[in-house]
Amino acid sequence: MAVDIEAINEKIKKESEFIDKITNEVSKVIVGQKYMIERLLIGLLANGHVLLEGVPGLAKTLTVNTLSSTIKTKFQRIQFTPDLLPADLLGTLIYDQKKGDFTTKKGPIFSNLVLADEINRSPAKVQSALLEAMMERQVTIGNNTFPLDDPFLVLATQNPIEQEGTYPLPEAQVDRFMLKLSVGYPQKSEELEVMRRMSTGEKIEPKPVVTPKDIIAARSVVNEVYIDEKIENYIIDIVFATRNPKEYGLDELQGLIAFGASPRASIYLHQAAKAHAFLRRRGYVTPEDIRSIGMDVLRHRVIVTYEAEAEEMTSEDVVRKVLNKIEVP
Amino acid sequence: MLKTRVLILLVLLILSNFLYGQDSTALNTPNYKSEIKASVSIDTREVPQNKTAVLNIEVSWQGDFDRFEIARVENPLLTNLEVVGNASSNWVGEVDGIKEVVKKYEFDLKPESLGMAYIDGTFIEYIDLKTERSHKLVTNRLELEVVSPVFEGSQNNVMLLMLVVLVLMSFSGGVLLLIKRKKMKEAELKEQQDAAISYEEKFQVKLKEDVDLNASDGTGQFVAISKIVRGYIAEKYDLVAMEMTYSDITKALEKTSINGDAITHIEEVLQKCDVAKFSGVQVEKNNLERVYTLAEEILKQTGNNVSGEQADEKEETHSTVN
Repeated sequence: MAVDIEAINEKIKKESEFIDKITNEVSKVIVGQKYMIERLLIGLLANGHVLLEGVPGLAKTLTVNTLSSTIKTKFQRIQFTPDLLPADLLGTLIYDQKKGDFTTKKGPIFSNLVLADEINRSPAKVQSALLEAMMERQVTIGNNTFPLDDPFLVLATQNPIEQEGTYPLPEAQVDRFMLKLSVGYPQKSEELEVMRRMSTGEKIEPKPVVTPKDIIAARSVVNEVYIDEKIENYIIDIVFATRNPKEYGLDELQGLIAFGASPRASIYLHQAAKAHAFLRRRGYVTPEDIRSIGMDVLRHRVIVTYEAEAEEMTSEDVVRKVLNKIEVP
Repeated sequence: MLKTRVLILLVLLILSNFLYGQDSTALNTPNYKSEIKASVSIDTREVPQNKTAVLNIEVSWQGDFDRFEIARVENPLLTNLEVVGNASSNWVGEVDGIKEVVKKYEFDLKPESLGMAYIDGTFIEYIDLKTERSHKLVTNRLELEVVSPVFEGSQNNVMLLMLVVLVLMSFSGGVLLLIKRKKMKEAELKEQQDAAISYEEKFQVKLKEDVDLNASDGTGQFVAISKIVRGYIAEKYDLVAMEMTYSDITKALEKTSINGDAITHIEEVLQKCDVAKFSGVQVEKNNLERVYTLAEEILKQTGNNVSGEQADEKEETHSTVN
């Protein structure tokens, strides 16, 4: 089947113009963290929620704030605390004495971009309320169901340290995030730049350069990005290797994986790879895209056994071994 | 007089003990009680003509081993039988706290012809060591019937079969060993031949054999070129090139002593192959020819660069997913 790659490339060229604008605006505030910014854009383009994990002070919240500022859209930041209630997030019914009837007060989740800051600080009922809304893309208050706005993207942050007084997200709920990013420390030169910028006391405000309409249009082009059957089989091989490592010559992983990646991993890997190709202004997916995005899609979907933990092997080590073992098409 | 007495006693014993396991009371001199006794038995009442029967004679007494000495045991007096073998054994022990000595004598008897066969009394001469006097015991008379011979072929056949199997197994083992040795020699020879051929020559041949520039399946030819170039890099530079993306490969090659032009060419070949493989576009023949020529160029350019042995010594630059 011949594919009109030229036409797709042309569309990508047209619809991806805002990417550079966003990147430029974000880089006015954020130094480095290109990996994090790119992944957030992939989440935005592939319509997948993103979980950011990193120690405090790595500009996770600032990056999401800055990104939201570059989009002319509704943005809400919700600080998750132990006393937060589902109604604080979703909304509730309030009795109007004048009308003698209940009126709906929508919660902060009714936004295009939601920053769930320190998501693991709230109890399970609040996390469940958010995660349900993430999947269903609608919220029910009283007897009425309200669809959430499009685009709707949840960017959640969590801190891997300070586990006291936190409520770790269950695996089933973590699985609903398309990407889980592990945010690392900046480079020496980047940190020097951060230090200098902060010492001036000058506050830089990024300009809104994109509308939700642009994002929705870009998403439709992302869906058109061509993905060959060979690449699809490569994705399936990677996901299946996390379930049956022995069949793929990964005997050393036998007994170290409690649960392999779910079919949601294949779906998200497929979508995220297309978005990655879009960011590279390419009308087709290559193994580069899969390997580039693979770790972020799979790291929270592969659950290792106690034996693996005893050997100090993490899910990232497992995914790395899988990606390095499966032959590229 | 004594002879008459012995004869009467013998007749009495035959009548009182029927055929097997009968004890014969010791024939002591009138001065001694029955301290020693002999018994006789035979293992069968019917013996095929081609088999043997076993006659067991047991001499036993209570007390010390050196109380009596068995001076002689005569061969049994046989009718229609012949002795073909014999054996003896001693047993000394205690039964209910009383010392007991048992001496056993065994005779293998082969029948001579069909019909009845008889074993007359066997004379056992012993010395009473207390009195230093010699005495004789005689066993009972026994009879048995010699019947038709039995067929022994089955056992022989099994033995023969086992022998044949053993010979066949040894033969096939030998043949297998020979084949294995031959294969090992062939493998060694091939290895020597391969070692003599350089990586470049090997992959040059592969390129010519596997890639058809006039084939209708253009994408398939790109796949073949990509595999050959990756295989060459994997072998020559000890990289896991089959599992790496082209950008990972070029990054890894930058750490080797390969020249910059070759890296550029490798990148171009692999990138063009990726486009052909994954973009779904129709492949142009010019493009295929260009990639083929570049692949040949790579083999020439890197041929004089780093030898396989040198590459082996290089630091391993394997995985690229961080």
